[in-house]
Amino acid sequence: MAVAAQLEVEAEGASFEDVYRAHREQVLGWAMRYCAGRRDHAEDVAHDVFLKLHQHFERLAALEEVGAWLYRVTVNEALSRLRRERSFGAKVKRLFFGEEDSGPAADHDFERHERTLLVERALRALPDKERVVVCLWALDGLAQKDIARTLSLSEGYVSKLLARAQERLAARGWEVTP
Amino acid sequence: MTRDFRQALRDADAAWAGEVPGPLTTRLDARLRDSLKPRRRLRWSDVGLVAGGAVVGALLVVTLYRPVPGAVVDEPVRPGGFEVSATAKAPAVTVTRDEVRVDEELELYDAPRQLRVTASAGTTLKREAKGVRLVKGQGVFQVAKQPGRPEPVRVLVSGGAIEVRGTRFTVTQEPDGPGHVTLEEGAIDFRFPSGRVKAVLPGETVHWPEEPEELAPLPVLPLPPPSPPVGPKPVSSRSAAAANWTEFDRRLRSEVVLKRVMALRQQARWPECVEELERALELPDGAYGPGTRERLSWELGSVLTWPLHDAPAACWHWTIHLKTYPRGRYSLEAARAREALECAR
Repeated sequence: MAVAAQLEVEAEGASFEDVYRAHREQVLGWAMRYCAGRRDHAEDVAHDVFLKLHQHFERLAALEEVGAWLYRVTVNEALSRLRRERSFGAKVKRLFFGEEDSGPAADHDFERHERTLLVERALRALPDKERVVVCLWALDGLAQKDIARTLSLSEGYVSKLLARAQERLAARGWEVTP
Repeated sequence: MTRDFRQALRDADAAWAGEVPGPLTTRLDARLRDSLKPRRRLRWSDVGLVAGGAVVGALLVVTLYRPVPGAVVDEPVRPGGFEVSATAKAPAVTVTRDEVRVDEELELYDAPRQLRVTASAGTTLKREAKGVRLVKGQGVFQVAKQPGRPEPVRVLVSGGAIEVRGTRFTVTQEPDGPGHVTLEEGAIDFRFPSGRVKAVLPGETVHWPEEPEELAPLPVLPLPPPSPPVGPKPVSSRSAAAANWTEFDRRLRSEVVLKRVMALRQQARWPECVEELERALELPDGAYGPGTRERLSWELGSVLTWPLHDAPAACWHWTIHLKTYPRGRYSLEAARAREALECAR
């Protein structure tokens, strides 16, 4: 894993700037994934993750698992962001100010692969936890017990979330192979 | 047709990852740089500065408002508006904001009211919004004539207020008890708490608390002579008289009766008040202005109910009242009174 290779560099007294440069794109990629391709959400999540990293950098720099820490924090930040999205205040804000996601220009959307758009739509239709669990399982290839550990959930609950997500996706015409 | 979600998700992930380098990364750089910009932290020196400022402020407040104990300095002081006359020789005075306690005879001046008072030893004076209050002791008051002043200057005492428009008088007040005022020159009015105003003549002394004053007798309205019976139906002399009362008579009678009742109520002369009301209610309908009879009936019920607690009489009265004025102005009060008295239905 690319992260593992970078960790060795970090362990030898790298600055925050170095760690940020090394992980910036990866964290943004994870954030895009768990936010189902919403750029502004992904940016917010990445911003908050790196702020946390800055706060805890002294302690984390000594550890060899900065990459793993970033991964876990990104997943949890994405979940918190999604939860906040559903709050009453956020709904009122959206009602008056519309969707925040400006994203690239509209013509760019047209150029996007049709399939990507369909996947984004299917992912956004899933409840927050199910969406993140599906991504962890389908993209990161994590086992259910690893997902449970990352999200601080029980393994049984993760299994239930996955099953529900599969059902929902199947209803939309997607086949989810184990 | 089913589609492989896992494969599609991987493709989408690759597409998302392709979007990351570029504006998204640049924006994140800028935001983080802004968020991590070092901000000035609060230092102990800042805390010290603020605390020092607070102490200086507090000292200023204390210096400006602290009581002035013991002897007063040569210059006139203005504690809460009172000035100590410059001619006074180092008097002993204790001042707490608007209250002055004089230990030796002292001349004080209240500039806004142009009121000068020579206060005897042991006198306490207080400035209030309505006037200068003589809490206890004795003072010779002198008020300059102020032609443009809309309100008279008031010297407040436990038993009322002395209203002055430029004159000299002596007031004596026992602590929270009786007192008297003697007018030396000019003219003053003494306003009792009941609202009665007594005009005081020079050399006259008025005492308080107020003695219950004998009520003026009800003015007897000239009743026109009974008219001779006309037609087959005999008319009672009272009704006939009522028919001839003018509107002026009715209003005057209403006013006088209500004034008498109010005066009796204020002096808590309840049995007399009941008698007065019963006598007033015996007069025929045309004797009063509109609404007066209902008001009198309500007054009678109230007196029987609350101060006298005469439940049988009150219940009986409220029943009659509610029958006479079923949707009257006091129906709600009447119903409440009946409820409080637990009157039988």
